[in-house]
Amino acid sequence: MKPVLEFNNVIVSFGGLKAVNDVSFTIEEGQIFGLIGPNGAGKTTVFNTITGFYKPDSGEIRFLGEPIEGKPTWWITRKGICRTFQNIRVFKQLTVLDNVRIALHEAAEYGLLDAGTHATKKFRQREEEIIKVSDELLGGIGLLEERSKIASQLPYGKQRELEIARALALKPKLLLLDEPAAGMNPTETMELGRYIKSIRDNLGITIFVIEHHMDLVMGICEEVAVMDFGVKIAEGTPDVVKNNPQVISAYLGQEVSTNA
Amino acid sequence: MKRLSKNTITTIVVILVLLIVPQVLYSTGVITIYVLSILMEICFFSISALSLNLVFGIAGQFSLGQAAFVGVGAYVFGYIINQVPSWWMLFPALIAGGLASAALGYVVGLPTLRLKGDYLGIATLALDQIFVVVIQNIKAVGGARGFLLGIGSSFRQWWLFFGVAVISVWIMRNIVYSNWGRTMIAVREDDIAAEAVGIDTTKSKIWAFVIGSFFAGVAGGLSAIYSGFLQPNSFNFIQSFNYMVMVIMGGLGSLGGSLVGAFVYVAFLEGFRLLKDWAMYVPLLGSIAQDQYRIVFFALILIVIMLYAPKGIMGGKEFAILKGKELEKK
Amino acid sequence: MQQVINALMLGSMYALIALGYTMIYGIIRFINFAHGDVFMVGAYIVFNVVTIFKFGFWGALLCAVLGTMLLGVVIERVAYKPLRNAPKISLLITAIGVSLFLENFVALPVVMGSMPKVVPSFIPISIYSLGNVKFSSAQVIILVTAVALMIFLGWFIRSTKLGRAMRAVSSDYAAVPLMGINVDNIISMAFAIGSALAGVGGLLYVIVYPEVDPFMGIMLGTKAFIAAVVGGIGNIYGAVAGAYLIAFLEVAMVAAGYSMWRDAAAFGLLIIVLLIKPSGLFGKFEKEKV
Repeated sequence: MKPVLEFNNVIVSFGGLKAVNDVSFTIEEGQIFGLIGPNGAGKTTVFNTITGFYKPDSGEIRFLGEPIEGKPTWWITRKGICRTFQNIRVFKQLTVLDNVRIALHEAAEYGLLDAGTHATKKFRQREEEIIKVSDELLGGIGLLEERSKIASQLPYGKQRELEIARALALKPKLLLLDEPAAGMNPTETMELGRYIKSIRDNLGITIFVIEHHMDLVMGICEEVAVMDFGVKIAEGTPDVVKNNPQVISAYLGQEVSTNA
Repeated sequence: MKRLSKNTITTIVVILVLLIVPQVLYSTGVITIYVLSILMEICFFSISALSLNLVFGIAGQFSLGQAAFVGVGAYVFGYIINQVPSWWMLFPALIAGGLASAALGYVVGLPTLRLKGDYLGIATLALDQIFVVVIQNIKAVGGARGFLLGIGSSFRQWWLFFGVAVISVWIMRNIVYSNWGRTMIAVREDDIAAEAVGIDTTKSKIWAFVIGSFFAGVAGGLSAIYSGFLQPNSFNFIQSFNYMVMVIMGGLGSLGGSLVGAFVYVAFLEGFRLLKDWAMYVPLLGSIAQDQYRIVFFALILIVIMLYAPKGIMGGKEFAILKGKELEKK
Repeated sequence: MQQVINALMLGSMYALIALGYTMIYGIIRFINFAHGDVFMVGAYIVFNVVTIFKFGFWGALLCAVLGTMLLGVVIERVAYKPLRNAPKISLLITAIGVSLFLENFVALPVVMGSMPKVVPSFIPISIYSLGNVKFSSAQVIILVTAVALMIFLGWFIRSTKLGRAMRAVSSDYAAVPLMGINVDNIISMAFAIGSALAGVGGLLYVIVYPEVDPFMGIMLGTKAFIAAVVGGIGNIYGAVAGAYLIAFLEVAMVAAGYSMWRDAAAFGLLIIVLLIKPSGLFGKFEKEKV
């Protein structure tokens, strides 16, 4: 198994506060890797640092062996790391189709002349191709019927699915999901778990997920890391982590085995 | 041969009617040269308003520097056409004006587009004033005294103004409904999400700025043909406000809105002068047609439009002939 | 030295107007482009009361302050308040509409006409000299009035209940109604004070440059506005500092023989400050949350 993401001794601080304090972990190819921890533990900061929104104070982040820390977000995305956001960042005022079409911008590959005239063969072919791929992706996630709707009109759960479809459009090698089950009921969460597994199994995409729903994490992840106050306090298989006394005390007052 | 869609046929008919009717009306003496010039003015204001809409309404970058971009186009066009005042130089000079303006857009956009919202607006507003001062100090184009174009009125042809406007609007509309436009819209809607889907937002903003500046420059060339005389002060930030007024009054982000905005703007400010002709029949009309009354009246109308339709006359809607293709499922 | 006095005069004028821009921006994040025209109306009020009623300094001051205060509040209530929840750009366009209206209404032949008018002298002027520097009583009045007003405003914002309420609205617009503060009144009050300062600016202006015209507010207002931005818009101390900075820069350019480039220098400084520190010399930078 070769490592997809190596996160080595990374420190990220805001003012005096170390949001991520000397954290290291490695994600292997084909894994579903979970990151859990109480609110404010620094989980989303880890995501923001991997995807280039924050620059680490020190430490290194390697993707498929190549250092990526400090690179711009779009560059990292094009390398093959795609993400969803905790507070859902679909393009709310645009249609479902446009949300996915935007993500396929790299596939367009046509110049200003093609765009300005709409008359070239290249333009027509690429645009048709983009719509075809978009529709396939939307079909795969069950949003094809909604394709002309404005994204903000979709129910919450569907917006999350759209965000995942948009990320998949970029053909990522590593998919980062930030609390994908937030706001979902148990049935929806189970379905989501199956879907995440199928992304890995059918598309071969390595998955890194932050989650509060312990059922989901324990059900799908092969490896789980736990953070508290910016520090990694445990890592291992779900069963090992679940019984770690430090993890239990970090979650004191919250039930480890049910929805947080 | 592919059958033309209904939409395409409507578009062609509308364009032909607009191309022929004013010319015929003018040639037969139904409308005066003054009315025809108002229509020409609508043409180049449409281009500059729409190009600002591309930057602000589509790509979401609040620019108050439009007047400077129009000005660069006008001065570069004027300078070239004064060197070679002939018909074959007309289009190269118009395009050169556009390219010069686009180049300025790139140079200015590179550092300033990092700024957001009001701050970008203020920085670009400063650009207008600096442009005015720079031109005032360039002797080759007349400095503060103004710059006379040696082409007379031979280029003041309706087909030229209308033709350039149609082509410009068509190209800008096509860009908006392409991958280029979609990435700009993504940046406007949520620049963080745009970065997260791999869009280089800086590059996308700069492209919007460059394309918008190009057409602003072309519009500047037309305005130079129209007035035949350029004055640095007519490209100050007040003029940028005017373009902004057209865009917002018509409806931000709506392509048709910018055309409507340009039309309403010119119709009120220039068209009102025409009321003088009827002043002998209707009392008060004569005084309304006077300069300050016209502007006072326009200002009131503008305030009322904003109060009752804050999203502009089009309110986010679009004319059918400017819309993108209906997308069928594959 | 004479140049320093000139710069202080100009800077005081900019400062009084810049304070209005910055107060209003601080509270509702809105660039009131009609503010320069409120200054112009203030100057016209002074022109009228000194020519028609032969008022002196205090009478003119009172009329200018009350007149512009009323104007500011009326503009806010009629044109801006209905748009408080509309897109901000609509508000900006409305402000441009108000600005066009004020300028051209004053320029109407039946109102004041578009030609510049000379303001007769209405305060006794005496010249003092200190060493080889000459200055007039008018200049002393201007400096004293401007500085007194700035100190008063600083005290008002810091120490009065109303001033504290203003700062509260400025730092967290949404939470303020929860604290039992009437936001509408605070906003109107900001417009009243800002406009009154512009009115005083108008009065002081005609003392030094005894001429009024309907479009005089455009350039002066714009300069004052960039002063507010250079200092850090929303910050009243920044506005004052920015105003004197711009004034000194302009006077220095003129003194150095580059009067043609004076505007370019002021706007160039603005661009440089924005690029290095977008929130201005004294502003706080708000970081965006991912």
